[in-house]
This record gives sequence, C-alpha cells and structure tokens, in this order.
Amino acid sequence: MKRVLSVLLAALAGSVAAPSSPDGPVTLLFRDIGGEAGITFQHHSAPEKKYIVESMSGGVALFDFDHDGLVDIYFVDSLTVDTAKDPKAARSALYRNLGHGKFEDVTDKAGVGHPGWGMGVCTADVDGDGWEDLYVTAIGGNHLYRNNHDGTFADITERAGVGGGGWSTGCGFADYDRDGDLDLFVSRYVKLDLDNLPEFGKGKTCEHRGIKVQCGPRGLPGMTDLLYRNDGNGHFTEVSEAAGVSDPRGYFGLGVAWFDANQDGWPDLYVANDSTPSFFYVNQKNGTFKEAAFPMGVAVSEDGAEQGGMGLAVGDYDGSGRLSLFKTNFAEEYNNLYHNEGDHFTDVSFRSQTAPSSLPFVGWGAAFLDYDNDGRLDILAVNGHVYPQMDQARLGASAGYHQRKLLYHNRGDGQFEEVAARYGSVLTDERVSRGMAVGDLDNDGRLDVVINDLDGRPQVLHNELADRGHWLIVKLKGKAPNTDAIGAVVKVKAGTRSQMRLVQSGTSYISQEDMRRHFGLGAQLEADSVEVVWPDGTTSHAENVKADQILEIAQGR
Amino acid sequence: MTRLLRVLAVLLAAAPVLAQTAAPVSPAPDIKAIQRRARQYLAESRENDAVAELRRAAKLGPLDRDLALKLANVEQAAGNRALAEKQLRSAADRFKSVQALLQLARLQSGQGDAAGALESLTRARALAPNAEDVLSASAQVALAVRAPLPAILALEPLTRMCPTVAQYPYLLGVALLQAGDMLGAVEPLQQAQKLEPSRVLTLVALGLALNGRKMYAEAKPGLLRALELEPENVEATAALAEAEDGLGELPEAEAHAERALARASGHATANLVMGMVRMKQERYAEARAAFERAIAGDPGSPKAYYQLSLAYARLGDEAGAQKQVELYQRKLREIDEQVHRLRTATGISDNGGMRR
Repeated sequence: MKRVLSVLLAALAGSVAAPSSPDGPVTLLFRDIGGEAGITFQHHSAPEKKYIVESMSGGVALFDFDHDGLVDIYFVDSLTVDTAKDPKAARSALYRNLGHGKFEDVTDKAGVGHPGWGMGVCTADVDGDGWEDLYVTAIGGNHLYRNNHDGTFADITERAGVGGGGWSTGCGFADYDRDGDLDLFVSRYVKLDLDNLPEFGKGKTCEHRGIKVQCGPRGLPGMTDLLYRNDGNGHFTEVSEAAGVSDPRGYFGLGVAWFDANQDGWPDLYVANDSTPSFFYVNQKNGTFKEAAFPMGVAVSEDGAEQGGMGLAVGDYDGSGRLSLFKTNFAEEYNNLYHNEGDHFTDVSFRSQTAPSSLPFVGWGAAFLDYDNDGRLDILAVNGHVYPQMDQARLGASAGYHQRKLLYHNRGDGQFEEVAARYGSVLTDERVSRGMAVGDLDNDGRLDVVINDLDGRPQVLHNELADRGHWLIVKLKGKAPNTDAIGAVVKVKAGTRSQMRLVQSGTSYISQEDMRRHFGLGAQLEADSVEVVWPDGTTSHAENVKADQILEIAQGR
Repeated sequence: MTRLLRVLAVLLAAAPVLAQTAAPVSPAPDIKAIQRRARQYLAESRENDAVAELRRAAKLGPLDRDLALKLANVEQAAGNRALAEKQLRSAADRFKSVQALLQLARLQSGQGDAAGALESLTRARALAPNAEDVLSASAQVALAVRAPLPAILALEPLTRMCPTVAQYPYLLGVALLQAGDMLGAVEPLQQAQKLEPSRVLTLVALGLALNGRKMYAEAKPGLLRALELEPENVEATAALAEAEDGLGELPEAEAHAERALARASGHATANLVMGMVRMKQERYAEARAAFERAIAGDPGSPKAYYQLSLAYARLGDEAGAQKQVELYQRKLREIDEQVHRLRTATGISDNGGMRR
C-alpha cells in the first residue's frame, strides 16, 4: 500500500449542489461551442456514399499533447473515391486548447494533417518519454506520430514498423505481455481495391429495403487484424498470428477495447466486428490469447444474431467492481450491454432498458460517463446511418440517415433511462456521427463530449449542467515507459459508493478519450479513499481526498 | 323448335341405354357422347352414373374443362390423387384454366409438393394477375407450403384491393412472419387488428411479430388481451412469457412459461423462455434441459442452439458448448441460404432491416 504523493491542481469549480433529477423539465446540459471555440474542422466524404469506404471514418482524440494541463483535440479526416489520389484533399486537424473555451488550429505546425485516407486514432506515450504520441489508422497505411515536445510531431511509422496497410480502423495500446512497454493492436475491416470497387447497388448485398445502396461489408472479403509487440527499442514486431489474434477468417473489425475482464492482472482484448461475431481474446499470460467470445457470451446478440458491431465502452456501471461492456450496433440490432459476471458476461441490454430505444439507430461512438456527477456511470451513444439513400426508403422501425443521440441515465438499480430529450436539441438534433471522445476540456469537473460527424462539422459539446454533484479527476503518471499508466485501474470510495475506472488507449468508435479518470461524487465533499492498481500490479492509496480537484498520482512515489 | 329440343332431351336421357345397346356394334366409343351422358346425369343429380361415365371418358382421352375439374374433385375426394392431378394438369394445359391451376396447387400442397404448388400458382397468377380469388388462393396455398414470399406477392395487392377485409392483412402479416421479416409483419397485423380488434389469432401474431422485433413493451398489452379473450391459448401464453422475459419481468415470464408448458410440454417458445429464465437464475442444468426441449420443438431456432451453448459453457463443458456453437452456426447458414434462395426466386431484395 503506497501513499499518494502529489496533488497538483485544486480546481474548485463553482456549484457543489446535489445532482439533478432526470424527471425535471428541459435542462441545459451540453452546448455546442465548436464554432465559438474556433474549431473549423470539416470532415469530408462523398455526399452519396456510393462506396463503403466513404461511410466509416472518422475518429477523434482528446489528449494533452503540449503538457499544459488542457486537453487538446485531434480530428481524423478522410478522402473519397474521387479524391483518393490526392492525399492533400483531406486534412485531419489538431486543435490546441488555449483555455477559456478557445482552440487554435496547430495542425500545420504539428505536421499531423495528412495521414491519407484517415479512419481512427488512439494515443499513448509510445516511447516512454512522458509525452503523448499519436497513432492514426487509415486506408493504405497507418501513421505513428512521435511527439517532439515542441508542438511538432515526427512520423516514425516506418522506423517503428507499424504501418499496417489495407483498411485499418480501430487501434489501442496496451502492455499485453507485461514487459513494461506498450504494444499495439489494430483492427482491419474490408479488403478492397480502390481501382476496382464493387458497383453501387449492383447485387443482393448492395440493396437495403429495396433500394440501391453501397455494397458491403457482407459479400466483400474481410481483412486480418494486427498485433504489434513493442520490442523496446523503438521498433515493433507484428505477432498477430503467433499471438492468436490475427482473425484469419477476416471478420470486419472496428472498435477495439483492451481491458482486464477477468481481473487476473493481464489485459484481455475485445474487438467489435461488423456483421460478424465479435471477438473476445482472453490473455493466456504467455504472449498468446484464446478467442472465447462465444462461451463468454459476448460474440453475438442474446438471440444468436450476428450484429454490426461498431463502437465500445468499458465501465463498472453498477459498482460490482468488474468492468462491463457496451457495444453499439447497426439499426434494429440493439446496442449490447454485457454485464461482467467475473468469468463470463450476461447480455442485460433489455433488462437494463438500454436496448429498446437503440433499435432504430446505427450506433457508433459510445462512452460510459457520469455526466451529472451523481456517482453513477451513465451512457452516451452517437448515431447516424451509413446510407444517405435511407431517406428515400421505407424506414419501418429504423431511423433515417441523420439520427439523434442516446443518453442513458443510470438509475442505480441496474436499469437506465433514456433522457436525451430532457436536455434539449443539442442531443436530439439529427446528425451523422461517427467517432466520439469524452473528457473535461476546461477542467471544471464536468465531462464534455467531442464528436466527429461524417461529412460535416464536428460537435464540441460543453457540459454546462448547473445542478450537478461534486467530482474528482485523477491523472495518473505511470513509471516509464508506460507513463500514461494505460491499463491501470483507479478505485474511489465516497460514502456508500465504490467506483472504478480504467485507463485505456483506444476507446469508443475508433477514438481516444481523455485518459484522466473522472469520478462524480454526488453530495460527498471528499472521497474516503482513492486506490490505484498500476499495470504492474502495485498499488497506491490515499484517504480523505477533497472533492472538486484534479489529483495527480505518480507511480512509485 | 321447342319440339325439336324436347326430342333431343329425350335422346340425351336415353343415351346410356342407347350406348349400352349400341356398344356391341360400336368398335370405337365416342368420348363426346360419353361426356354428353355424364352431363345429363349430372343435370339429373345421378352422381354415381355421371362419375362412371366420366371415368370411362377419361380413359379414352382428355375431358372438357368443366368435366375434368369435376372428375378431379371426385378422384381427389376418393383418394385417387394421381388421377385427380392428371385431370387438373390436362385442364390447366389445354384450357389455360386458372381454376384448374389453383386446384392443382392445393392438391400439390396437400401432397407436400411445395415446388409443384408454387409453379402452379405462378402460372395461375400469370393468367389472372388481379383476380381476388386467384390472389387469395395463391396466398393461402403458398402459406400452407410455407412459401411466404409468393404469399406476400399475392397478399400485398389484395390488401390494397380489399382494404376492409381483415383476413388479408392478417395473412400478409403471417407470411412476413414466416419469411422472418418481423418488422414488415407488424404493420399489416396492426391493420388487421384495427379491422377486427378482438381476433385472437391476429393479436397473437402481432405479439409474436413485436417480440421478434424485440418490442416487448408494445407486444405485452395485445397478448394480455388475447388471453382475456382466450385464457387457455398456449401460443398467447408463451408469447407473453417471451415478452415478459424481454422486459426483465422474470417471475411473470417464468409463471407464464410454466403455464404454457403445463398444456404443451414440448412448446418451443415456452421452453426457450424457461431456459432464458433459468440462465438468469444461474440454474444452468435446468436451462440446458429447457433449451434441449426447445430445440426438439423447433430444430430451426438458432437462438435456442446459441443459448444452449452458453448453458454448456456455464456448466464447464467446453466441448459441449463448442458443439452447440457449431450447430448454431450451421442453423444460421441454413437460414441465410434459405433467405437467399427465396430472394433469388422472387426477386425481392428487402431484407427487413437486417444489415446488407
């Protein structure tokens, strides 16, 4: 048991009132400050989405690249079939957080604007120098940008050997072999030839509800996935096949989540696959994994249907001390909430009331978050169809192309209530969203949300909920080379509630959330205890920690 | 003129006698004359004599359309299906008889010849694409041979042509249920329910469709109403149990599943619900047994195989779990292939909400 050593920031922030009731009238929760904040990023895609490659981007990352204590934003942009030969036609963007609700586009200086046909993003301090690096997945080759500590990044992809190739989507770093450095998993989607794409609307797998749509993923060949083991010398070695995570059948991989599901101290891996069973790789502690999604109960829906898995969120929403799993899916397939029972999962989607309201929507970005600081993890999911042609189709129970968000308030009894409409149009306005990342942009203890919309402007949703509870944000500083403490678990006890959070690289739908861990404390003015279980199994502990501050905890001090 | 007719009538009436008398001296019986005598007997309600004449005539050659249909009916009623089929085919081929084709389809359906029945229906629809009786018969025969897509193709225009007839949207809903399009089934079944609010069959079918769409909260009230009307209805009880399980109302689901099983111990849905309930109660051995009974009742249910694999996994039987996963995957493939075949056969591309 070790003591917490440093408390860096005490950002007491305004109200400490009791959390709001979801039964009240319409309340301001989020306000889209994108425009006023100076964020002008525009995601690109062809308007008709005639090809599946034009429907699946893009991710968003929240990370503090310049060490100023403020979370910055990186948006991934994509090319189109028409602009495929011109990498400069797409411009991903890095926005530096200036504070006071303002951001500055520093993309050009940083040198991270043109990763090609961008898809997703994840971050980690790959080289252990204490600065966040950036990994961007793409079609035709991924990019690892090393942070130069001066506002610029260097593309070290080739040297590191993590370029991948084909159509990469999700990514996430974790120390799966517990050798201290961070390894990398990359999911891949469909095998395609941009010069010979399947023709729009031609064939049975290119129709939906009687209308012509883009082809795939069904009917198209899938791609294998990639696991890169960090050699510790700046180079990675691809070990997918030897580790048993290569996906030789070529399922359509998207969302990635590393987490220690069975609490044996070794990171396990979940991959959301589109239109095919998802994977759950149990870490065998010897450099290999055993795929066990079916026996663990997380491969398919409760009735055995293969789902179009997209985004993932991991969280202990019921104080069980175990990390459960939320997965967004295609329309009419319902989003899964898989409750972690220790040695397996139970699909509690309908019992928890999260499934029925999700049926009309195609889900993407997802997160467990305590938006009102009441001490319970709620769920946010963003939506949007893949076919613009849906607006001309017989919809049935499915929503149209543009879709609203879903916000589930945790009732504390294992059930959730969908409350988006109570918080106004910012949640109910219909968009075509993809990546989503949650974090505290202004360090006020309220969680903000950034969303990358396909072929549109992003949403920067500033949390302005007035009636909310106390909070605590824990920023971990792990021992090098894993200075982010990726894989660490933070446990907070306040009053009668125990909460836990996991530090993750690669979250939501091909995105990266703020790695600092946020806890709502409700009416509690302090946390009775804060415990950190570091990736190497050592622990740190503190007692009677004041609420409403950002607490930095360093490993081994 | 009147007199002449009277004479002809007398002659016709005397024809059998004349024929019998003339037989020894006539080397080639006249099929036309035999048919005339048959008609006469029919007009006189001398059924047995008429049938005897028709059978005689049929041995000599093809009958007139109406007589062929008559004889086909007689042969079918007598259990002589091959003879009935011969007459119907003949009438269908020679006279392009819609009636014959519909009757042939019914006969083929009764014999389990689904492909033959569907072919006959297709021919009938080509001859009379907008006739209500043709469409209606086509739909019913198609449903009887579990060929939902031809039924859908027949019922969709019927629901438009006869918007106040509850039977048609009901059958359309049932056809869509058979096709696995739970979403599509909901709308016509709701329409049928509007036209006939207290019809138990419709309420149950709507409940099943809503359950299939996982709209359990919407399914429950109609199923409760069905049970008010018919408290002993096993289908409604089992479907209600399924809705309650979906809503997380475990005690109610368990009670209704038990009630359904008390009346029909092999009921697939009731056993499946019971298995789901037992899984949630962590009574895995009982869950496994319930899923096995569900599969015995409905061997085509991927859900039952999948859940059975989970029961085996919870019981620590890895090999058993893996075997059930393989069976489950085989069922999924079979369904995929079936849907593909049906779509190819009908040209229907609507996948009812499933992704691509």
